[in-house]
Formats: sequence, C-alpha cells, structure tokens
Amino acid sequence: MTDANVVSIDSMTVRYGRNVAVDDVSLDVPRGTVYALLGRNGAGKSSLVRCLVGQQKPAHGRAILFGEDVWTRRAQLMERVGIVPEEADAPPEMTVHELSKFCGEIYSRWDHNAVRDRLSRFAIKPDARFGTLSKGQKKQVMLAMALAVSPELLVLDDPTLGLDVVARKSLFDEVISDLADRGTTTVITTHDLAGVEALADRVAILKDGRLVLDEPMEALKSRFRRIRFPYAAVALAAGNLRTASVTQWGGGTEAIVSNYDDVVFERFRSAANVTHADVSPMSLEEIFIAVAGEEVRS
Amino acid sequence: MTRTLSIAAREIRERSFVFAAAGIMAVIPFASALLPYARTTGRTQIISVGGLIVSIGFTFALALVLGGSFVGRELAERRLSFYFSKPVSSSAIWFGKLAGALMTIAACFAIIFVPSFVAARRFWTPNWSSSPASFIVAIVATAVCLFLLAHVGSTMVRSRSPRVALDLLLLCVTVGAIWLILRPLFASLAMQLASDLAWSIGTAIFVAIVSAGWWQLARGRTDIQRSHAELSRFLWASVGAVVTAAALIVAWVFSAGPQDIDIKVAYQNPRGDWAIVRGPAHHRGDYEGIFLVNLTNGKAKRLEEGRFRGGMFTRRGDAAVSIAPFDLDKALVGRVQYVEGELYVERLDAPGSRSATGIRIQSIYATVAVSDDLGRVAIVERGLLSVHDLSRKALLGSVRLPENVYEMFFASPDVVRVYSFDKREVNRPPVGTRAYEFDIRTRRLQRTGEVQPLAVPITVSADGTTALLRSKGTLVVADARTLAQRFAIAVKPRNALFLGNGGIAVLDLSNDNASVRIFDAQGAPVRDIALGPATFGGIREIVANKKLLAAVQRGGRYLDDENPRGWSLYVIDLEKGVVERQERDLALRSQFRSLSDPRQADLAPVTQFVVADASGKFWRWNALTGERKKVFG
Amino acid sequence: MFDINASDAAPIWQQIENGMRRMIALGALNPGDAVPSVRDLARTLRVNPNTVARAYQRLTDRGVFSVRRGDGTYVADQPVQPKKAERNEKLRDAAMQYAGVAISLGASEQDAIAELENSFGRMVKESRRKS
Repeated sequence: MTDANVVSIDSMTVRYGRNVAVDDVSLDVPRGTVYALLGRNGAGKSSLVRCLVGQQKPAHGRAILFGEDVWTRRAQLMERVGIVPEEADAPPEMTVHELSKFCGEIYSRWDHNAVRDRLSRFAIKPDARFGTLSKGQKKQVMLAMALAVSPELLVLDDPTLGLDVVARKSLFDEVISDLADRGTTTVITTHDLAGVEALADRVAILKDGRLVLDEPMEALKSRFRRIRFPYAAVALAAGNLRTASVTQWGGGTEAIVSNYDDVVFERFRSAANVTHADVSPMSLEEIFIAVAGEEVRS
Repeated sequence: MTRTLSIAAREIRERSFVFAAAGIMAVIPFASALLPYARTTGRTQIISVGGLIVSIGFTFALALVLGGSFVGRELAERRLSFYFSKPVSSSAIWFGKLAGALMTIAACFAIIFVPSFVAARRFWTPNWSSSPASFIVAIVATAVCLFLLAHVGSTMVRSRSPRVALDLLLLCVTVGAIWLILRPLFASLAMQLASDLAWSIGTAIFVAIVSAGWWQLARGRTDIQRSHAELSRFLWASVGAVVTAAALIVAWVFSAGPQDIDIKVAYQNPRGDWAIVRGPAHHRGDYEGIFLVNLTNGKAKRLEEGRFRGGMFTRRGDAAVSIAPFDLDKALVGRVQYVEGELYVERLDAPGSRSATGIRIQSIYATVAVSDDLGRVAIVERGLLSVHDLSRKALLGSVRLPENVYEMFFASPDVVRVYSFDKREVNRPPVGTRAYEFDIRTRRLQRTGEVQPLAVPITVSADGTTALLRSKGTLVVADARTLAQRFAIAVKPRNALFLGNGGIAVLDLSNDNASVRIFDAQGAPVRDIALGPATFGGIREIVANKKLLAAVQRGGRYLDDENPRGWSLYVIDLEKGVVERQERDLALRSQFRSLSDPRQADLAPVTQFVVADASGKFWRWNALTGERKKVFG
Repeated sequence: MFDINASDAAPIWQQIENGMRRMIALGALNPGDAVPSVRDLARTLRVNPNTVARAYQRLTDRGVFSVRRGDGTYVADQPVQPKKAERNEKLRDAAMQYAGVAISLGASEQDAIAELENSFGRMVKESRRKS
C-alpha cells in the first residue's frame, strides 16, 4: 500500500490565520504516475506542494513520502526527491558550476555529467551566474539539478510559470525524456493544461482548498462530454445523466455531462426521446473550466 | 557536519565581495596617514586610531546587515527553500549559515584591523588596551550580538505580521523586568552579584537567540509567518524562563535573614535592645544584608536604604534614622553620593512605623538631630539649618549658619542648640568654639556663647544644661548654653561622662596608659583606676553609680576599628574602685553615645553588649557575668 | 508522422492509436515494419511514455501491432479486418454522430453528404500518394 504510493497525503489542512488554504485534502500518488495538481490561482496548490515536500507544516494532517512522514524525515527523504520550485530559489550570486559542485557535496549521489550535458543542450554556460540567466534558463537549471539526483519523486511547482512557448516546450521535453528513461513519479502543478494533458496519468483539481476531483486522466476525459441538441428544451434529468452545466442558445441546447458513457447515454436517449445529438469529447482545459471555473468569485 | 561546513563555505563564498570591500577599507588608515596634516599628528597614531575606527565601524555595520539578511532576506524572497529542498537538516542550515556569516564578519574585521595593528603596534599596545586580545574579543562579541539582534529584528519585521506588536511589547516587558530584577541588587551595592547576574542573563539570552534561530528554521522552515511565530514563541518562552529564573534568584538573595549573614559590622543602640547588623549573606556573592534586629526577640527588618548611610540611633535608642535615595534609578545610573536622599525615621517601639519623612537630604554628609519626642528633626546641610515637623511633614523654619556645625541637639522641642567651630580663615585650624540657639517659634538664630581657644564638646548632660569640653589638655565643665566655664579639672581626657550621681568619670590615655579617673560633682578627685597600656578608647556607665564599662585599644585610632584584636573590655566597680572583669581581644560594637546627639542617654540598666572577638565573630556579652550568647535568636 | 494536438478533446492515447491506424491506412507503415519504440515516440510527440505504451497496448490487443519478445514492436502482418456486422455498427455510430453535428450546425442534408464525399476522396487520394 505505502509501497505502491510514493506520495500519500492524509486529510491535510493548511491555514493562514483564518484563511483556509487547503481544506482536508487526502490523495495518493502511485509509483510511476505523473500526477497533475490543477487549480486556479489561490486554490491552495503551492501550499499543498510546500507541505508535500516538508517545507511547511500543515495545521492538520500530514504528508507521507515513501512511507515516511515528510515533516519529521525531510532531510533524509530529500535525497530521493527533486524539486523545481515555483520561483527559482538558487542563490543568484552562484555560477551554475558552483551550484552543481555545492549540490554534489550535499547529496550522497549526484550526477555532474548529467547536469553538464543537460545544460550544454540549452547553451547555458557553466560559469554564468544564476542571477543573470533568463527565466527559462533558470528553470532549466533547476530542473537539471532536480534530475541530477536521479530522484524517485520529481515535484514541479508550476514549472512553466512565466515561460514563453519555446521555453515551456523544452522544459516539458526534459521531463518527458526523464520519464522515458526512468519513469520517475512526478507531481506537477501547472496552469499549462494543454502541456500537461499529454503528460499526466492522473489529474486532481483543487478548488478553494478542497479536492474536487482526483482520478486517472483517461477516466476523466471519457466521462466528460459536451452534448449539443438541436432543441430548445431537453429533459436532461432523464436517464441519470449528470450535467455540469447547461446553456441555451438560439433554439439549441449545450450540456456538459460529467458521467457520460454509451449505455447511460442510450438510456437517456430513449427516455428523453432524443434523436439528434452531437456528442463531442472535451479537452482537459475545457473540463477544468467546467469543474473549477463554474463561478467566478466576486 | 560536512553538510554544515558545505553550507558555511557556500555562504562565505556567496558574500566574498565583502572581503574586497574590507580590503579597500583596510587601506583607509594608511591613506589618511599620508595626508598633509599627518606630519604634526603622528602617522602611527593616525594609523592606529584610523584602523580602530574603520575596523569597528565596518564590522558592526556588516554584522547588522548580515544579521538582517542571512536568513530574513531569503525567507522574505522565498529562497530559503533552496536549502530545505535538499537533504540537509534544519540544524545544518542554521548553524551552517550562522557559522558562514560569523566567519565572514570575523574575517572582515581581521582584514581591516590586522594591518593597522601590526603597523601601529608600538602606539596601539600601551594606549588602547592593556590586552589587545581581550579588546578584540570584546569587539567580535559585540559584533556577534549585533548580528543576532539584527537577525531577530529582521525576522520579525520582514514577516509583516501584527505579531510584531506583541514582540515589541514583550521586549519592553523584558527590558523592564530585567531592570526591576537587577535594580535592588544595585541598590544594595551588590555590584559583583548584579553584574554576574546581568552577564548570566545576557549569556542565557544569547543562547536563547541562537537556539531560537535553530528552532525557527526547524519549525518554521520556508514559511515566513510561521518562522516568525516559532521564533517569537521560542525566544519569548526562553527569555521568560531566564527572567523568571533571575527573578527567583534575586528573590532568594533577598530572602536572607539576619541569621544568614556573617556579621561584619554591628551597632547596638544606647538602650541596648536593638542593633543594626550588616554582613555578607551566605552563598550570595557580594550581597550584604543590613538588618535592624530586636535583640530581645530576634525579630529583624531589612534596611536596604541604610547602605547609603548606615542607620543611626537617637540618643535614647528609641528610633533609628536612615537615609534612602530619593530616586533610586537616578542613583543607580549616576554617582551614588551626589544623589538626593530621603530621610526615614523608624520608632523602634512600634516596628513597621518607619515613615518616609519626605525630607530631602542633598548629601550623605548632612548632620541630623531628632527631638526627644521624635516629632521633629533638624538638618544641617551646606550651611543651612532647617527644622521639620515629622508628623505634619512641614518645614518649621530654616536659617543660614555662619560656620560649619559640629554638633547639635534639641534643647527643647522648640530650640535647637548648635555647637560650631569658629574658623576665621578657610584652610586654617579653628580658633574657638561657639554655641547658637535657633528658636523655631521666632525663627531667630542667636549666638548664646563662645570660648577661645578651641574647646571640643565631649558630652552634654542628659538634661542639656552642662557640657564637658576638652580644652588644651584639660577637662572644662561649662554651661551647655553659654559655654561659660564653671570649673576645670586638671586631667587630660580622651573621653568623659557624667555619672548618675552627678560625678564625672574620665578616661585618661596620657603616656599611652589608660586609667579611669573619678571626680565628684565639684571636680574633686575621688579615685583612679589604672587599666594598662592603651592609645584609644571609650567609657560608659552600665549600672547607675555602681559599674562602668571601659573599652580601650592598644595602637588603634577609631571607635569602629574593624579589627577587634588589641581591644580590651574592663568592667569597673565604681564603689570599690577595682576592675571586676577584664576581657582581652574583645571589641565593643555598641555606641557609647548617639551619633546624632551629644547628650548622654537617660540611663537604663544595660548589661548586654554586642561584641566582636578576635576571630571576627559577634556575640552578645553580659558585662556582669561575662557570659557570651549569640547576637540574636 | 502524425502530430499530437494536446488541446484536442480526444484522449492522447486515442490520438496516437488513430494516428497509427491512419498511417497504416495511408501506407506509411506497412505490415512487418518496425514501429518507433515507446520512449522514442514519447519524446518525439512530447507525451507521457505511459500514454504511448497504452496506445501500443490497445493496438497490440486489437491485432494491429505484434510484439516480438526482446526485439520490438512491429505492424502485424495481416491487419485484422473487423467483422462485417461490427463494421456496419461502427459506421452507423460514426454516421449518427456526423449527422448530429450537421443538424446542430444547421447544415442541409446535401451539404453534409457532399462534405462526406469530399473527405472520402481526399483520404483515398492521400493514401495512394503515400504508397
């Protein structure tokens, strides 16, 4: 059980004063999974990630990595975890080479060559000071450092934040080649839903600190459908069809259905006497908007 | 450990530019020595002073800047996760960062200081400090303290949490509490103890801050709010514990009773039933307890304010007079003897009746007299005589005196009699003795008498009418008001007194041999009693017309000589004229007469005296039986 | 080769599966040809290797690919033809869906059929050119 789950979060709550950032969240990340943690700004992703890597103590609950409590065993556990933080946190005065050298002293295994190879691919000079690098280069360096320990868990906290399209792509490429080489368990938070859609095995969505969704990507995508009817009024309640949203426009109806499957839909069709319907699958972005963006908070 | 060192090394390398800055600063003293004015001032001196100023200034500034940033800045900029995302323990992060920053500071100090020290060593060593090492340690220690304080302050300010108000409040409370804790120690002049305690508190708080930093990183990690909260919680809890412990220690110090002190000084009142005892308390450093002790029942009262003027008794021994600083805080900050004191009068018959009189005394050299009914007090200070009513706390009158007062007493509740020495010229010996009377009702000062040459009043009869004067090697019996001579006795008096039957007893120390000589009321010799070699001493009557106590000393000069060795006590039978009892190496610690009033006390049968033996131990000695008991209890 | 559109609504594995089927249909991959390894394809397409593996698994299960132990994955010699009844049902489903889209978009029947014929012709032409 604990063996299968690299990460296990147990009814975690994070508070800042009276604000509840993370509200009683429990989740598991099985070994080898790419776990996408999604949510709008302020949904509690970063707080959850900081607690997940033992940098912050939740008000309640705990995070378990590799079967051990991360708050109490952080120093030992970090040997097996690579982290790319939201904001690049390496000291700006250090050169990339010094950074790699320092990490080599800190970690019991450290692959200097991997760092050098990776960075040379992005034309980052080893004697460049970290502070002088572009945002994309900084993220590349952070990722190279995170991967140099051959982590069993890779935590990417909004790795593409502030990066342009090209930089995003090359960053994700690095993650993917790591996945292809090692199958590292990865937890990633991001707003780049199109980017993560090709990457994630499992999706979790945080909304106002609560976990509103946590399931395999494939199951998620297979149960969400956009259905267009050429009718003004459709008895959507018939046949147990659950709708996330219904919109009417010019004689037609558009419904987003969250429990689509062929059998249910056939049953609905006969119950509601619907002959024409256009059923189309939805992208992760569309599903995310339907789930996390229902109401815009005032 | 190696990770701690790696972190320390990284922190040092990150700030290597400050070494360059220090290197530039190191040149400044040498550069200023080359300026034109240097020729006159002396180059070595400029290098030495310049090196000192620049090194201290740079080091302290660096300590403040580094202390404010080495954790706080990374917390605020969310860069502390760099370490926390790595397999290093919180203690490695804290102590690594701490060591790195402190080594940076120390190295910068050395870079600036060493060249100028070496170049100007000749000037430096004798002029700035006896020991350069201790000086350097002091600078570095100060820098470390500044560094830690800057760290704490920066964590608190950078979190921008309302908690900082609580921190400020607790800081004020702490400072106030420490002052309140140390204050009584300073007030009791337990300076060493106060300073030891202050150092201990400082060291404990130092350790608390270092530990709090570790705790802050271990518990708060990358969350600046929580970091601040944990720092505050740990710091104030430990500071609270330290302050509480210090308060308990001080409370324990002051819990010492008279039985806990090694009596070093004791004064018995003329009536014999009370004593002021003073001495270091056991295991309490240099704290000395001063107590007013009832010798009959052992009940005691602490007299801290007595430290500023050892308390004294009135002539009847029915009240103790002491002076306490008016503004203790001012007294502790400023110089003690120039501080205004407040006069306290405590009636011994009604313990606890000590009353703050509200009367300000400017210096400890003031002369004070209390009226027999204990209702009024006269004070001479800076040539001004003032009389106050104690119960109404009112000034009854004051007058400027022509000369410095020698002695005074209340001849009646309304009349203060003053004896002064007529000094025609400053810096010359007095040429005569004068008597004045200040009448409170008319507020007039009247000269009532004058004698020439100088005559020193030894004692005045209990009724205040007759005085015994020592004048040119003879004893003069004179009217106490006019100083008009009634008759003279051809004896060289060291000390003299009126006996209960009107006769006069004289202690004669001619030719360094003590003898007690008894005269009748008209001055006719009655008998002489030889006591043996002595250079100093005093006498008092202990059983009216029957017994006399003489205390004499060989080779001594003062009554309260600390060393009892050389003192001998004689109990003399006046009727038979023989020495009834003799005690060697035993010194009287009882007043022959009041220090504030020249008149003799009304006689009460006092037979028990506080004495000190040759080993410095104090006893209550029965003059009639020779029995020695503990002083009290 | 085909491309993956991450913002496409269809699941990635389905896009890979369909892409592979289309490549075989177009003759870009012939029976006996080796297909790219899971790793290589994942890198090229920038998708999670698990997703590629899943698509390959489905294609293998359906007899489109065959795996030779320790050697790699190949296009199966004889792509299995679905049974006629199954084929007809799938065609009907797809046609229903197409008709639904056309109606909801307000297209006329002629327009819809013309567009279908167009697409069919384009597909066949492309297939010929590739082979």
